[in-house]
Amino acid sequence: MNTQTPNQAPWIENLFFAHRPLWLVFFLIMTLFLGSQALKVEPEASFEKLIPLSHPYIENFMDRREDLSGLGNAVRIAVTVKDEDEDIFTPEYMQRLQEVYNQVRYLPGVDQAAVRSLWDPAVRWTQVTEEGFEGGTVIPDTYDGSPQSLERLRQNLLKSGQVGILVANNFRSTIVLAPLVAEVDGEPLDYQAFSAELEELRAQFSDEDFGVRIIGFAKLIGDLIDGATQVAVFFLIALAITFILLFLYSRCFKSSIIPLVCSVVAVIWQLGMLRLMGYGLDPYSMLVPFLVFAIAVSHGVQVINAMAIEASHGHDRMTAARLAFRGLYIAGILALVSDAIGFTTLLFIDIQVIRELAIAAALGVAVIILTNLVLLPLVMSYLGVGKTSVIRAERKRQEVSPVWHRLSFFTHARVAPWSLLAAVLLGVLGFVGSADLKIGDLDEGAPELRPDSRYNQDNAYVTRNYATSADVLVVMVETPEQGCVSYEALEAVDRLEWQMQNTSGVQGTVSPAYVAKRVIAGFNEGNLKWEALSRNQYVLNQAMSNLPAGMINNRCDLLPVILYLEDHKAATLAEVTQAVEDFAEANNSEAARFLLAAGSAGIEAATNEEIARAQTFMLIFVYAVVAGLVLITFRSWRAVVCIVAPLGLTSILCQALMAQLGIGVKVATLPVIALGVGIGVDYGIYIYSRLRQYLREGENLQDAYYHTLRSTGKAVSFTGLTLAIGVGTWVFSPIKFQADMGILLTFMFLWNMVGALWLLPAFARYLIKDPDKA
Amino acid sequence: MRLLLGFPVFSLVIFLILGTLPLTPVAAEETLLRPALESDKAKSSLLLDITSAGERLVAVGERGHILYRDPGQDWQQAQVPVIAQLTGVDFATPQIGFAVGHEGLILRSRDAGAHWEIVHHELQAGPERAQARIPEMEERIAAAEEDATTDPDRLDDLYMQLDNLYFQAEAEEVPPLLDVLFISEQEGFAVGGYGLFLTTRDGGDTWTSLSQALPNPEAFHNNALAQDSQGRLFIAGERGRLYVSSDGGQTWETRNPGYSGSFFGLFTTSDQGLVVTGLRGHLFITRDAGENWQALEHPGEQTLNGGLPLEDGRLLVVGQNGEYLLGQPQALQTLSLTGRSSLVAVARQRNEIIAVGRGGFHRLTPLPAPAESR
Repeated sequence: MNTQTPNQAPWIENLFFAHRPLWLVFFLIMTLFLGSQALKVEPEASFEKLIPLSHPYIENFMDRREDLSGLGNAVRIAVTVKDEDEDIFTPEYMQRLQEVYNQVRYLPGVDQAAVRSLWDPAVRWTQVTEEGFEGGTVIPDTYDGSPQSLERLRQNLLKSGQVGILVANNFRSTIVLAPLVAEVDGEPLDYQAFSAELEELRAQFSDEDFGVRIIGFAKLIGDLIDGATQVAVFFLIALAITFILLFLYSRCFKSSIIPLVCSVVAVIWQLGMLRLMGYGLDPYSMLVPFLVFAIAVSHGVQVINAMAIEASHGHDRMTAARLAFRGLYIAGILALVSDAIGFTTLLFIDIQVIRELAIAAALGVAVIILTNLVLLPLVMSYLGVGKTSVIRAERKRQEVSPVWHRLSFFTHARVAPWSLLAAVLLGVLGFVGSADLKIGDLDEGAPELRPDSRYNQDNAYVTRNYATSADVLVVMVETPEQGCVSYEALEAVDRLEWQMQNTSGVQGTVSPAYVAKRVIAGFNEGNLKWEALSRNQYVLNQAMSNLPAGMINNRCDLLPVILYLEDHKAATLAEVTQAVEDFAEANNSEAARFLLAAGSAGIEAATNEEIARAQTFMLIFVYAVVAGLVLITFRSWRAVVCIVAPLGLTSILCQALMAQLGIGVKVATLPVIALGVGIGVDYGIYIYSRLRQYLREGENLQDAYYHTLRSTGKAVSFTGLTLAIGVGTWVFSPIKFQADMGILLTFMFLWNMVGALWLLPAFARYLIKDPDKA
Repeated sequence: MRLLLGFPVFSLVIFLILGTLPLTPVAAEETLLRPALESDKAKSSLLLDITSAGERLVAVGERGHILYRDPGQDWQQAQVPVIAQLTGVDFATPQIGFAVGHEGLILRSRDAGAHWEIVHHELQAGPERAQARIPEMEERIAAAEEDATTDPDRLDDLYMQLDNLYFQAEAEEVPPLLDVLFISEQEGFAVGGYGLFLTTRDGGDTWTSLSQALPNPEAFHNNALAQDSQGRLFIAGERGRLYVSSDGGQTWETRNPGYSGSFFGLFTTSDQGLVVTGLRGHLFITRDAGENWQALEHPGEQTLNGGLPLEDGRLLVVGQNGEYLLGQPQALQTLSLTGRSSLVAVARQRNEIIAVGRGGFHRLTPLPAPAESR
């Protein structure tokens, strides 16, 4: 133990401890200031941040976003009949629908003129007669709720072509389609507020007879923000559990509450600084405060632990605090800096949320250096550790620990080979188990939310009862300006459609060519023999002028081809995008260029490609960084093997776990790998550095390991536990990907700890025979 | 509320205006000559006609799809050199058949429908024919102008026809063929949009226009062709037009069942009658070559397309939105196909009756039992 007196203190220690009040005031002011900033941090979920902006698909999409807006951002509100024996043809239902329709039109954010419902005069039926077309609004002008007018409504609906679009196939619900505007009074549309309005609408118009189901990107984002905000409660739970653990560990109130407070200060600083840098908190970076808190607590425990030991040697508060600082600051800074560097490998992924998560996490661990390595000992130098804590530390030091004694046999020549064999077997098992690890999201519906969430239930309802699929890939066909009506462009689009319908994974397609063909047949008395594109420009112009909004842009230089996919599995997306690219290569011409990709599936395809690219790269990089840091610190390749090999096993097992749980590699889970390895390496560093110290003091391997465990084993296992608790509460998040992150991080933190305690000594048995080489 | 657009006139106007628009000279032949994609989904694509070639059924449809099936076998897709929409098919012999379609395409198969070759298309022939007629038309106008007794309206009419020829001679696009009929191995006819009417006398090697033989100065669409048991030929068309020829297609006369809406289909009955189908459920039968017509009443309102006589004297007529009629001519009942796909044509293979239309093949057998006689 270090028994040096304060006069031999390094300059950095004096810098802080010689001016304690000044520093405390500084910390107080900073905390108040950053706290006031932290309060202003807003939850956000920006669409652009979730996608790889420099991927060619996304670049194409962003270029054309304005033109495609008519296709995209709308909410669908299905008003449903609950009674199995009833249908929509009742006066009560039609009245309820009218009320909903009227209310929806006046919601702020809704493009009032574009709202469609049976009650909308623009929703019409048509039929071919000897004189031409006959048509009218689907709800007869004379509608009075009588059985006759309801029967006419039924006839009109059959002729309107709206079955499967605005009217459910089973006639037990209809949809109010509400396209949204991008801005309200110059401000971007607030999805959270809009979603809340929709919930109010749902509450107002649902009862025992009728239900309301709502889907659409705006609702999804609203639900996402709402769900993610609930995670704040988990923070309190994590706080409470951590406090209990700290108390069980130290049996001293002061020693439990102060590290907790300092760790909360770290979170406040991190959030405040994030706000000052102009960032908000998205559902991904919400993980960071939890991580920062957990890492801060684990470092706080080291400080308290060291202070108790120093105090048990008889030092006063001030000296104990100074000695604890002196003993820990180098190792602590090193560990935290290596964490931060580990996080920065995430910057290589071209997805803004992941980058922001990396920045927030790196910022957070940097803050911990100040709050838990400086502020904590400063505060404790005034308060001191409690007597019980000191006595416990003293007693522990004396007694033989049977647990640690048993664990020390991991270094034994009889045990180590079996350990390594078991590790190899586990590795093989993990490797086999991770064979069907998939890229991308695997669940149906909106994979961000849980399958049984209200949104996904609503989504499943609409998908089941209407002719729509949630997985939409849009091929953007660029033509010269005013060229979108040319025969050459439309003919190529028509061929693309057929090619795509013959590609596995494609359920159906819609394009302007398809619609134009139907219009042309319509203008020829409905004769299907005319349902083909005409080389006659006037006929095409006429047909294209009948296209629904969103299918044609003002400059007439873009044709969207909409592909409805069977699912959004990565293999499906890859196959379909490949088929489109092949077609584009063979058919791109002056008249039409085929570009990928818009639509949910298009964006997902791009994200998958980016993630597949980044995954291997990031793994190599994070291991290279960690191995490099270990090599620099210990100047020994043996140390690298001892510390990094157990991490590798964890990574393999984590992949197997993902495969078995059906969690794909995606925006949410990719950072977990870097975080898990970056933080996981700490255990190995702590253990290895102590082990080397005892070996250098001449002990044999097993004794050295026993002493290592006695001095740091507890801190290591406590660290593992606090980290696991910090992120473990996430398993209960209503947001599916947050739960996935929680499961995987908990697994990695715990298993990395196991790996460090169990495998590191086994490797040491074979690699470290000569202590000088250690 | 009614929108009076007046289709035929409207579409004719559209067709005439086309020539005024600048058109880039695309390689029309290039898009024409793309072979049809072989696809499992061809049999559920839009199919527009079906016929028998001996025991074999052959159907044609969109994207150059031709499918054939022998009794008890599965449908097979034929090798077709074009992706244009095919609208009609007929077999002169069980081996030799013809299919027609958009671009004025005529295809021939010599192996009972397995392989097809292009024998004619209108992309060049149409404009050339129009060009060739211009001098004659100019002479007629000159003669009419010199003749002081010419009705000014008649003169206007001639000018319009001349303009029409100018446009057609320059046109990039041509009307589609809509039906084909062979009355012998050598002699065949094909009819189409805007008065198009072609014939061959050499087994399909060369095709010439017969449009001038039809009393159809307005160039209304010719939609369907049939031959009755006496060998008379019939053409049914837009706006209630119906023509008959008793001399193998040389001369034609108009017959009027008394309906001004369009006709889409023609078929003979087992008792030497002839049925014509039309817009919005209109259906007429004649037993004296079109001298006298009788409207067949039934509750349906959908446009009717193809039809077929059954052995027991019943008729089967298929129409839009999955509606089909079944029963004795005077007691037709309306039935509805599940899924309400529009049906265009119907054919029989042994005991099986197959209709084609949107969604491909639709088996109609077993048909509902004959309704109780009234």
